[in-house]
Amino acid sequence: MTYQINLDEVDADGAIREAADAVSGDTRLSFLKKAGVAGGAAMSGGAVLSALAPSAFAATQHGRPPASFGKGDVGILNYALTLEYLEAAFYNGATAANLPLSAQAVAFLKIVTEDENKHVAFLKKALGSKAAKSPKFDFKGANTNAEMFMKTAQVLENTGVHAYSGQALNIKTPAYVKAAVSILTVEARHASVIGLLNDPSGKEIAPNGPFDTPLTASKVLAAVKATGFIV
Amino acid sequence: MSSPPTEESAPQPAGIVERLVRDDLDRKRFLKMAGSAGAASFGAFVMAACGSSKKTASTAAAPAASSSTSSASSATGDVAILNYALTLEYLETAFYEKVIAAGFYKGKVGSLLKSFGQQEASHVAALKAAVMKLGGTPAAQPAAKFPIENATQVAELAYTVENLGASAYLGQAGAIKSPEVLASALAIHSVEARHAATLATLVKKSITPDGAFAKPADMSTVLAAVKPFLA
Repeated sequence: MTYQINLDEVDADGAIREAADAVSGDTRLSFLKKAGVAGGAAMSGGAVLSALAPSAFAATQHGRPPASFGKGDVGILNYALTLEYLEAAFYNGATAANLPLSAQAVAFLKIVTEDENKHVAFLKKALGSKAAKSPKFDFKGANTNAEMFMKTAQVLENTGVHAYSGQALNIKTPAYVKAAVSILTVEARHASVIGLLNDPSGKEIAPNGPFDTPLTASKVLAAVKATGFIV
Repeated sequence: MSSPPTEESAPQPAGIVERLVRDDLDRKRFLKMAGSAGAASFGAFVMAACGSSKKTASTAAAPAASSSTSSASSATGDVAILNYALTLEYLETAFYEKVIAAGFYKGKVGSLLKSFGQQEASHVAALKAAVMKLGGTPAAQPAAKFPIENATQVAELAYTVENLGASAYLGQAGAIKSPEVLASALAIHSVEARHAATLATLVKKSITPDGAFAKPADMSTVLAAVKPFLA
């Protein structure tokens, strides 16, 4: 049942590691291996997004995002914004790459690119001057290779679903609860469709079965960290 | 359909509820993974709810008569919302049963529809248990009728029904008082969205009909929409 992004899951043939190795040499490779292969250790060892304060893991009482994102609802919205930045950047890159995708996958990419950019815009507007800045991303070829794009998109979308459902209970402002659930719905729609495109048997439509499992911020951030997508 | 489905008779795929109830190891793993008070209490809530309904299955299986003999809360607040959701899930479950019995879809799509139906049945079981956990009386299963005459009609109707379910849960998210009930509703809600979006691919409609932000539907809108399906 443990659910996390790691390189073994999104990088079946080692392409991410090879790309990372080529770019950054052995240090990068061993970091990625540590983050991905030894994911459990990295999580308990306090691995967090590099954009965040190291105190992140202290703030897991209710699975909330770490204090570095801001207090209360601002923190939760900034956490959501960071995940949306990641998704939007991933899809913007994939769109620009003009990948050789199936017609259905092209349609999917068009919709998700539009939706995730709108989620970013919405959250930035809601946060105003308190909005977190976008981290810098390096997708290591995961959005410029058709096969890796498909796999990674599925992981990102499911992580989005579980991240939003993990925070819905922590939000105090009713309007933001509604907004978060509205976005959650759309992430779930994306996740199921990419799941079906990747596995026509339909098993990945609802990978948790009849009930989606919420994820704490620390789990989500550890999973994101493990991808090495945030530099 | 001569008697109301009980916890025992409702088909339960190996979803999270069943796993949590039946498997000690999975339960420990889930609670450890969830880690947060919110998620942990969701697990505890689901377990407690299912546990109590099992113990009292013989009496609890009695249909909810029009006389509300239980606590006053059964007609208001979270219990009312849960019973509303339960009624919709009863209809969805009945719909899939009829669709599968009609046999318009075989193979991959057929098994997809079957798995959706099983997940709806799990939602029914969870919602009934949740109502009882709150001291309420579960709503009775309504008699249902659906215009099922050909495959296209079935797929279109499935898409309509699932979209309705997703927007109905969304419409209640701001009104639910108890965090545990909200957590349960969200865990179900995103699965409804998953069903709706994958069915959209089948009938060649938008996977996100409301765009980047899913729109809620209020109770009166939803009830008016399902009215034709009540026998």
